[in-house]
Amino acid sequence: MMLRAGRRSRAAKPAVWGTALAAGAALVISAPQAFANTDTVTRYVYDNGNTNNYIDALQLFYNSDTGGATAMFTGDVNDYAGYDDHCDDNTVCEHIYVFSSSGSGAGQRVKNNAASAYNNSIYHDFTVYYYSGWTGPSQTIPGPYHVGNPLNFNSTLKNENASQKAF
Amino acid sequence: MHKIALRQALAATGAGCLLVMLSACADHSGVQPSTASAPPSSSAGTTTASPSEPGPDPVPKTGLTKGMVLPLEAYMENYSERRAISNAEGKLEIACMARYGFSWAPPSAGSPPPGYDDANMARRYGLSDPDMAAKYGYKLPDETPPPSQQPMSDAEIIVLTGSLRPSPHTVPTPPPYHGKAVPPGGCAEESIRKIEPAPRRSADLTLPSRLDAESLDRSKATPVVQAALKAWSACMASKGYTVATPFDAMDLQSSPSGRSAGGQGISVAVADVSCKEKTGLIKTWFTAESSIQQQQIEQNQLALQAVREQLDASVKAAAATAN
Repeated sequence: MMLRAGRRSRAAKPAVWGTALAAGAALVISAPQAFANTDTVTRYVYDNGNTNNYIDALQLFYNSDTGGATAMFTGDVNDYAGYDDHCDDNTVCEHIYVFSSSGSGAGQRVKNNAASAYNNSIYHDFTVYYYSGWTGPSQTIPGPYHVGNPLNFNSTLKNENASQKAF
Repeated sequence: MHKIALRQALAATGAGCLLVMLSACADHSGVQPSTASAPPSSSAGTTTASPSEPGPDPVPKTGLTKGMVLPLEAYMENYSERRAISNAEGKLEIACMARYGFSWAPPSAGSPPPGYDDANMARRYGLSDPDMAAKYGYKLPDETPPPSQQPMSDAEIIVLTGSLRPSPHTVPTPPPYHGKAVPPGGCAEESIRKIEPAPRRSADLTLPSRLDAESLDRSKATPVVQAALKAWSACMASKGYTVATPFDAMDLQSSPSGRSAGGQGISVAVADVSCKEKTGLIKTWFTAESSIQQQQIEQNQLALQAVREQLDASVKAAAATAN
């Protein structure tokens, strides 16, 4: 399901949106605001697609010990801020990653906000990087499928997590 | 001794030799080969990923981080060790699944990460290789998505993992499959326990990377690194880019969240690395960090030793499984 609503300018980014998102809500939620500038559509998403198979995703949590709202990412993510693509020839679709489902932190941006992670993958290891573009120091969250082993980000990575690599 | 050999020896001989070798590490500038000697490697730590699996260089071979190894890296699980452990666990999982009549096999690994371990030397201070910057910008050479799993039946998933949905808090107890008991957590948990015996993770395996991240922050605050960062920033300004640190450089690309290796991305990346070379930022930063990490090792010696010993035990078990 996809809700497309808002067209807005880049100048008016809401820092938080969707705090009332319910568990099981749509994977893609668009900003419900209308602005004069019509060249960008913003979508708030809490995964990077292809996560129907939950046994192959890194799950990030807003709180420590896998608590609070969550977001899921498969494969490589070069920036937890989000990504842009084109809706059509004249419109840029800006996707912003936020924590969703229920719990504390729902609607907050993912980048630099995750406190813990769980490797849902039964076969892939993940490394989370301090900075975007796989730069800075990092923390590897090993697979395969460390059942019962939630992993808090180390204290410095807790508020500095910006990209991920699966291998 | 060449740095690569030094690293292998460090990994191979565990924490014991590290005590001996700390003084040798203490005076390195990051690019000078250490003269320390190490016992011949004879135990865990030398197991590597399959030769057919390409991986990151243990020590960067090119660019501005060439030859640089941080002291804490000796205590971190590295790419070769992780792959050896994963491969061994995969092998056990295949055998376990076969007991239940499933011809399941894990997909092959995805493209390797840029760094050999959590220190991520190749991109620790942002981009560091002028040739890579000119070719790929801020992107990785290989961004092919990792291979995905072939579709699995529910029964297959339950036998492999113990449940249809993994839980971070409990090891699920699956029902018998065709009258045959399935181990708690399924074949995956059984296999992991053989390589990384319970109580798994009794040592704080995140300690080396935690200290390593702290050292980046602490070193960044030192006057010498601050001065180097200012020089780098001024160099970037002279090329038309307003940016405070290398970690912000990729945000100079055209959109706030879209990344592209084309056009300006390449230009920024080339300027970024060129200014690092001109100002000596990486060498300055690395030297400051090396000193801080030696202090951290002295202050956390026993805990770090415990981590390395646990990793060595896992790698040794993985090697035994492979043979």
